[in-house]
Amino acid sequence: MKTWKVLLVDDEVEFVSTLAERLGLRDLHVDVANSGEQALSQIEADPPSVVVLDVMMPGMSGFAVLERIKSMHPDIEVILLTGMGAANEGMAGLRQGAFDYLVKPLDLEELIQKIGEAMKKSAGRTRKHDGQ
Amino acid sequence: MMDNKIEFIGTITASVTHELKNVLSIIKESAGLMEDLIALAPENSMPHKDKFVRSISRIADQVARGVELSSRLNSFAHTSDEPRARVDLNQAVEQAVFLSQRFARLRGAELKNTKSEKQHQVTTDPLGLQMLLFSSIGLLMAEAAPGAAITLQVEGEGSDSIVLLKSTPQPGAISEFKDLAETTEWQVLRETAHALDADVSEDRSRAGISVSFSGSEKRI
Repeated sequence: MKTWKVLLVDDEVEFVSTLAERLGLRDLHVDVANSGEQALSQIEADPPSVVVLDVMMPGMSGFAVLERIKSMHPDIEVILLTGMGAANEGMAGLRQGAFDYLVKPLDLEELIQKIGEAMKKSAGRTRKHDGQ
Repeated sequence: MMDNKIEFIGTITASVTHELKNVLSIIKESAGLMEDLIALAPENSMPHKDKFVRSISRIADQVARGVELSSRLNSFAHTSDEPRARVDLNQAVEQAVFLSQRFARLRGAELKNTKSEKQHQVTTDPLGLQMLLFSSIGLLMAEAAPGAAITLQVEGEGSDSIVLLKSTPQPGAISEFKDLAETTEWQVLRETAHALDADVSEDRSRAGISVSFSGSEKRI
């Protein structure tokens, strides 16, 4: 039952690939990107419902990616990943339109719950746009 | 120059602890994936399954320990960000106690803090405050009886808040609390406190040290 499409974006290749594998074992349909630029091009080609996005990446920052996603695909929900003690970053992300933020290292169950909530919100908004 | 060096150490430490967090995240997810795959394996299909599960559990425990250590070190590194800032004394005490635990273990002392329910905010040099608390803990551990328990707690209110460090001897041990004011370390401690517009005094009735901040608040 692979129905939820999620894009994980983090420059830590080992982290994001392992996390994708774990989410895959829980029946989530997951793609990965290792930079902001790569994420945006994947989103254009195949938009996911939810993006899990690291804030601190070389090149395009998570905040810059978030801004682009929200301006081009407002229906996509974004969950930010911040560093420890970075509540300010998380709050700034919420003001910029992020669905929520989580602090690394992650609690997998919490991430799955947040993805589920974001998915419901995204699906509800899409239905409204489609006039259903 | 000294301020620049402190800022440099703070910046590098904060950056490295951030990287450490990424390393710990990878270890955590890798151990989690192993756990997932073991759980999916058919019953009796995996030799030494119990040992694998125990090892993964140990990895998870050590990752949690590493996260706590690197988080505390990261917070400590950020204490050098501002020469003066609003500081929550409860958090400052909790941090100083955490960062001093290894020294306490080496001395055979028990070190803990009792959290106050009230907010105790002072405006001070956050790094200087950590130094003052660390030095106070060190002096008390050096002068208290072996095996003593050192407890830190914040008392009072607002600008009259104090941090009280008290030592309790092990049950059955002879309590012989030395006169701290006669030690050379006491002079250093007083100078450190005065640089923060704080003050230290002996609290002989509780075999401890009291750190007050009323001077610090008046400087705002």
